[in-house]
Amino acid sequence: MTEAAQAAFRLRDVTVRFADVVALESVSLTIASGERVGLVGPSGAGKTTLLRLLNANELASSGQVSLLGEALDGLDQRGLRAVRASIGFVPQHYHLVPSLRVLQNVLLGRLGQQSFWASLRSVFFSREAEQVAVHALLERVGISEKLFAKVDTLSGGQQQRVAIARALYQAPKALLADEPVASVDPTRAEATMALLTTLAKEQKLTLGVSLHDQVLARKYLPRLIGMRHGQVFKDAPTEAWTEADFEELYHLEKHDLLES
Amino acid sequence: MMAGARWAGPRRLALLGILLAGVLGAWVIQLDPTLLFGKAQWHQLGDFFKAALRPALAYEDPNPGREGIFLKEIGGALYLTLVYTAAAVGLSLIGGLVFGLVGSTRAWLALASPAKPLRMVSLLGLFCVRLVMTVLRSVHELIWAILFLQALGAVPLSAVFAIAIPYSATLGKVFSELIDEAPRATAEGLRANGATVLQVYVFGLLPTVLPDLFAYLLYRFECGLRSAAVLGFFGAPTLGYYLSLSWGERHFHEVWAYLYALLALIVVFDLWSGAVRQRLTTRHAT
Repeated sequence: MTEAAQAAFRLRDVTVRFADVVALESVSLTIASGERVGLVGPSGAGKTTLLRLLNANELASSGQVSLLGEALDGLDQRGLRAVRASIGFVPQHYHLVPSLRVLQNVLLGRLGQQSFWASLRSVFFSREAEQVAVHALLERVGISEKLFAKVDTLSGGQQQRVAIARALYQAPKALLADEPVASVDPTRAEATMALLTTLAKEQKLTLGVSLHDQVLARKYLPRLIGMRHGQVFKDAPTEAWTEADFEELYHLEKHDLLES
Repeated sequence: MMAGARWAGPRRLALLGILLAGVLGAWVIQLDPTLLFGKAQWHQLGDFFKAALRPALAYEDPNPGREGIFLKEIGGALYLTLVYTAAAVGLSLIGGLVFGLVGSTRAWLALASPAKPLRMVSLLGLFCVRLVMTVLRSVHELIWAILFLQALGAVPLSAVFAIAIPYSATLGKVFSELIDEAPRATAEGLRANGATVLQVYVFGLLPTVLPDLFAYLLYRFECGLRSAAVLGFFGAPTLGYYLSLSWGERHFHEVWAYLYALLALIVVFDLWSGAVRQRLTTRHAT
């Protein structure tokens, strides 16, 4: 029991199927509270599905999933929303609402904790205290001057930081980021990884990041889970990952090449 | 051979079929084209169209039996047409937003998502809502007007409901299609925060489709102006009411004055809404 309470994420023999495609196949893993974990592996290996599963945005076709000590099996819609609300998620393409301002987009982070009318009041008639709180978060991610800017006028890197601020405004217990460095330039990538890991350390968040960059993964994440064909290829502390492991993980087999 | 095959293509056959149906229909209801060449008919029509050149600026009858000044009456009729339209279209915007949510495939599937057996129940619910929308939409506003005049009498509510009900369903159909075609991304982003279906709709999807939604709403408003004017024939104090009075007295110059007023209203509204739409779409593009 105590062990389960300490684990942020626990998967037992989890399989996820979409129609006739198996995205994840009997995956078992435990991520402790406060741990910082990287998900590595080639495209289509199941990293995004795994992250969505860790946010209760995807449900297992079979097997047991427990997030922040809650077994998902017994949860109804309301319960699932409560779990999602306590886990911050930064999607690869940020998924902001383009026609709203930065302030409003960050305020949307609390939707899961508010009634409909409270969220309507908050997003369209924000109080000063809320604006101050959002401003502080934007300052933390380095774009406080954009508080009232329309999201569709921002650069990709700025939008990413809005998405991070939105996730933080949830006051989450865990933070998940899907390919945060895949679509930004190398200097930005380094800054993003530094920001995510510092935030996780400061606020004692469990951190899950999917990425391809071996150098960044080694530098910022103490544990790496390698995924391949929907299965766990290797799950070990980062220092136990050898160059050969990475090569094998990303090595394309002949039929992979023919398929793509 | 190829040419022969093309001659008998399905489109040509359909065109030919429609033509044949037209001739057959005209024969069944005994359309009599010789009527067009009767002298009396042309005389009357001639009077009517001649009046187009000189629309009335004052009552044609020196003792009109109506009080006030003719031009002021036109102004009042235009104003009330606008007000009735605003009330009806405003009401149908509310109805349309509700139908836009409950008529969208997305909302029902999102409700069903964790428990797979609910999917069938969800699709049945969606089918029922769509059916209700189709029924409300396929009854014309004039029929609704007759129903409400029977039920409520000649009160403003009858005219407003007569327009608002079919318009709600039409707006709802278009809104729900916009919602279903909106990019998945923003909805996904909010769902990941734990948002409810209603929150995803209001904060994620509506802002995304707002420019298109607003453009369509303006178009419906223009249709509403025509509908409100016509409902005057059923007693609402809009342009149609005065039009029918003047028509009954065969005061064609007055009739033309009202017709020009309606035309001006529509043209001015069209110019204005065109400019608004232009601004919306260019802002959307940048």
